[in-house]
Amino acid sequence: MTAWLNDSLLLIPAYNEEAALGSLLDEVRGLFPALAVAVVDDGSEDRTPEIARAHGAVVLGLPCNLGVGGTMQAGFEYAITRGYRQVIRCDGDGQHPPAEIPKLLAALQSSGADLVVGSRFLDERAYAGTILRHAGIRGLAALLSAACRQRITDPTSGFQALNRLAAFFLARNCPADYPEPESIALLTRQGYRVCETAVAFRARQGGQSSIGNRMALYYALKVALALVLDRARAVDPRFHRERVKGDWGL
Amino acid sequence: MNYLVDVLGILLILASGLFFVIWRKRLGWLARAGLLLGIVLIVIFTGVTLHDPGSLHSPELKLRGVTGLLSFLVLIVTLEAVRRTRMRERYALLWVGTGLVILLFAIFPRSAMAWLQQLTGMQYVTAVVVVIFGFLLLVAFHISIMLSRLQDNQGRAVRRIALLEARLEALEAKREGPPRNPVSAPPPAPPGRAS
Repeated sequence: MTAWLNDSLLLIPAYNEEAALGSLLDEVRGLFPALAVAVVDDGSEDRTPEIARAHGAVVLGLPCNLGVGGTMQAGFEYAITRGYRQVIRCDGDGQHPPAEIPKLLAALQSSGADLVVGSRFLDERAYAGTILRHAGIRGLAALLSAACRQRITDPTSGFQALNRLAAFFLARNCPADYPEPESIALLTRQGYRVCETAVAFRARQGGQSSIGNRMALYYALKVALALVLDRARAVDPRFHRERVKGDWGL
Repeated sequence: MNYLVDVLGILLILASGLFFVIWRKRLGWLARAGLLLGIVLIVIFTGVTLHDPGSLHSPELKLRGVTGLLSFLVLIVTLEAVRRTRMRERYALLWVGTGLVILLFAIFPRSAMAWLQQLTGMQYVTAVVVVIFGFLLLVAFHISIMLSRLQDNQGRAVRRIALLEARLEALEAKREGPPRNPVSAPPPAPPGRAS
């Protein structure tokens, strides 16, 4: 149970998350005192980095706002250079209960997958905000399932556990704007294995969603375009799973 | 006579452009005066056309006025942006070239058109417009690509900074502050190595 704690890193991308970040970090510290936590601050205008430091997290401060993709990429780069063997990522707004982290890691160990996505929709009829948003997520899930040739129920979930291979790949090619669905597609295309595990989400504990209702349409269109174009792109042999495993000794 | 005024106008416009580039700091007002003079000259060009009674009511006259103003807008905005160091010269060159080509069309619409038609084999004005539109489209496309590359580079640099800063913080905490984690405390320095 505690074996994974020593070489795992919890990555929390944060942009203006001062409302919920402190209590989240305390909760993590209470549950897993030995787990390394890094908050990647995406150029917040509020006191997010100070709060993260005060609550004992390592802070990777981006000097300007890069969006979730660039933020996560910085986090994965950090995880790789520091030699962590598993990376967990969760949002800074308290939506993702840290108590579920062992579940994700257990799934990562037992399934042999490189990326485990915590899914809201696997075993219960959970509901993601407005009807429009729910429909959008379902549509995206169908598209992504078709692209990956496997069933994906919660493509936008940011509650994930990755092993070193997947983290390495995403540190090198993380999609830019809204990375979750596209990174799943990229990973499966490059030979990495992805699986989902059922996780109960909480209500957001504070802060604002990075995607407003108007942005949701842009989000859906952008991701759909990216998914189609990724299929059209040739597989990059340099970052194929087996090659990364061999060449980089991961 | 007609052509003489045209040539004079071009020379003055080029001169005012030069003023902008060379004396951009000290004599900005002079450059502005030169550009104003250029605008006046454009009006004169169109005025010259007035002497040709046949062209008085032609739409060509208005078109010349509009294209002339457009070219001036492009040139002034470009040169001003360069002057305020908002635009690099290598990109300004493209826009100055564009402005000058438009200007050419404003001053010698017939001969410029004839030249373009000879060059491309297109017989209709609409085709020429399509060519120009296509050119501007390509420019915008080029800029989108540049912007994407720039964002990639910026992201790379920003991430590197964040990682280096975190490393620096960790090192400083190790050196100066009390070690938070006793396992990772630095080993005692070997004796006789003091600097």
